[in-house]
Amino acid sequence: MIGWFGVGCLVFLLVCAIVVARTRDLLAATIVFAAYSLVMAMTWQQLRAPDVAITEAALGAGVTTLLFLLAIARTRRTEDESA
Amino acid sequence: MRHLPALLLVVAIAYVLALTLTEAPAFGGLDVPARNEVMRFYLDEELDQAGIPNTVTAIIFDYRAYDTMGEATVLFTAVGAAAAVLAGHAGKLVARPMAATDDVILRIVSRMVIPFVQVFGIYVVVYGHLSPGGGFAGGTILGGSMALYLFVFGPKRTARKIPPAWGEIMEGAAAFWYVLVGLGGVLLGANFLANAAAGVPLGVQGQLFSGGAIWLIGLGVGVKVAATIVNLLVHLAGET
Amino acid sequence: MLSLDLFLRLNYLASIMLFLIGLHTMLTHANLIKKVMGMNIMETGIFLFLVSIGYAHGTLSPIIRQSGPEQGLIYTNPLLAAIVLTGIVIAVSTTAYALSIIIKLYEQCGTLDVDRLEKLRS
Repeated sequence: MIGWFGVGCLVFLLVCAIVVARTRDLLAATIVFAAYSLVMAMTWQQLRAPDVAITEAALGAGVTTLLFLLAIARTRRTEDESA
Repeated sequence: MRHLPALLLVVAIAYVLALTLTEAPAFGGLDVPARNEVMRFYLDEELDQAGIPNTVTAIIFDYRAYDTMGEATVLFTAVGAAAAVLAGHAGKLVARPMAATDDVILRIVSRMVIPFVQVFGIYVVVYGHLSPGGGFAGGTILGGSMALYLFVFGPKRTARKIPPAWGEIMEGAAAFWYVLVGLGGVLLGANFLANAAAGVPLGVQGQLFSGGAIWLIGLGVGVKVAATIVNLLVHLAGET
Repeated sequence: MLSLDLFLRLNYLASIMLFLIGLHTMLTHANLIKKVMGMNIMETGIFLFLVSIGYAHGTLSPIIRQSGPEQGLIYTNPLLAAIVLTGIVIAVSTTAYALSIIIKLYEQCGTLDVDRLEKLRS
C-alpha cells in the first residue's frame, strides 16, 4: 500500500479532474489544473519516481499553466458564448 | 440528449478497461511483469557502463540518447510550427497581445525571486546526473524564470532584455551541440552518441564532472529547453 | 473479495478514471481550450498507469550507490520513469502547438465554439 497520503492524493486528483471538466470559467479551470499537476508531482514522488516528479512540477504545473493563461489572455475567458 | 453517443462510448471503454483491471497484477508486487530482465540489466550494469548514480538520466542521455535527440527535435518543431502559425497578418478580429501589469508588489517580488529561480534551474541542470532532475526539468525552470519576467513586465521590455534573435540562436546552437557531441563518438571510433564505449573518460563516480558525454549532453539540453520555452511563450504572447 | 482487490489496484483504478474523465471532457465540451485540457488529463492518466506498473512496495528511488547483481531487486523500475519523462515533454509540445492554432483560429473567426465554427464553414 502506498499509505493514506497516497490515497488522499489520488482522491484529490479525481476531484480536481472533475472540477476542471465541470467549471465553465476557463481561468478557474486553468488554476485548478495547476493544482492538479502539483498533486500529480507529489504522487510521483510517492511512487518513487523523483525525476518524473520534478519534470512534472516544472513542465506540467509551470509551462502548461502559462500556455493556457496566454491562450485565455488572447482569446476569451468564459466557455459559454451566448452573446 | 446530444451527448448520449459520447456517454455511451465512454461507458463502453470504461467496461473494457474495468475488465482488464480485474485481470491486472496486484499493484506494487515484486513480480509485476514490468520488473523483468531489462530493468535488472539497467540497474545492475548502469553504474559500471555510464558511471553516474541517477539511472533515469543514464537511460535518457546515454542508452537512449538518440531517442532523446528526436524528443528535443519535437520541441524544436513545436516552436517552429507555433511561430509559423502565429506569424503573418491578423484576421478580421485581432487577438490583443499580452500587456504588462502595473502591480507594484508583483514587480518588486518577481525581481527578487528571479535570480533564485535561475540558480536553482542551473543547479538542476548541472547536477542532473547525481540527483533527480536533468536537462529537461532544469531547462524548464530556467525558461520559467524568464517567463515570469515576460508575464510581469510585458513582451516589449522582455524583447529589449532578451532579444528574440538570441533565443533562436541559442536554440539552434544547442541542438547543433547535441549532434556535435554525438559525432564525437564517431570520431573516437565508435557509434553515434557513444559514451564510455568510445573511450570518453567517465571521471570519478559522484563527482560533478563525471559521466563523460552525459554531462555535456545534459548541459546542451538544458540550454536548448530554456531557449525553447522562452521562444514559445514570446511567440504566444503576441507581437512586441 | 472484489472490494479488497480493487483497493489493492487503486492506482490503476484512478488512472482509468482520469483517462475517462479526460475523454468525456474532450467529447462533450464545445470549447476548444477545454478540449485541450481534457487531452492533458487523459495524458496524465496514462502516465499514472505507466509509473504505477513500475512501482513495487518497499523499493527505493532509482539513484544507485554501488553496482552489483542483487541491485535489481531493491529499486523501482527506471525504464518507465524515462518513458514517462519523454511523454511529458511531448505532451507539452502538442499542447503548445494546439493552443497556437486555437489563438490563430480566434483571430480569424472570433469564436472558440466548435458548433459555431462548423456553421461558419458551411
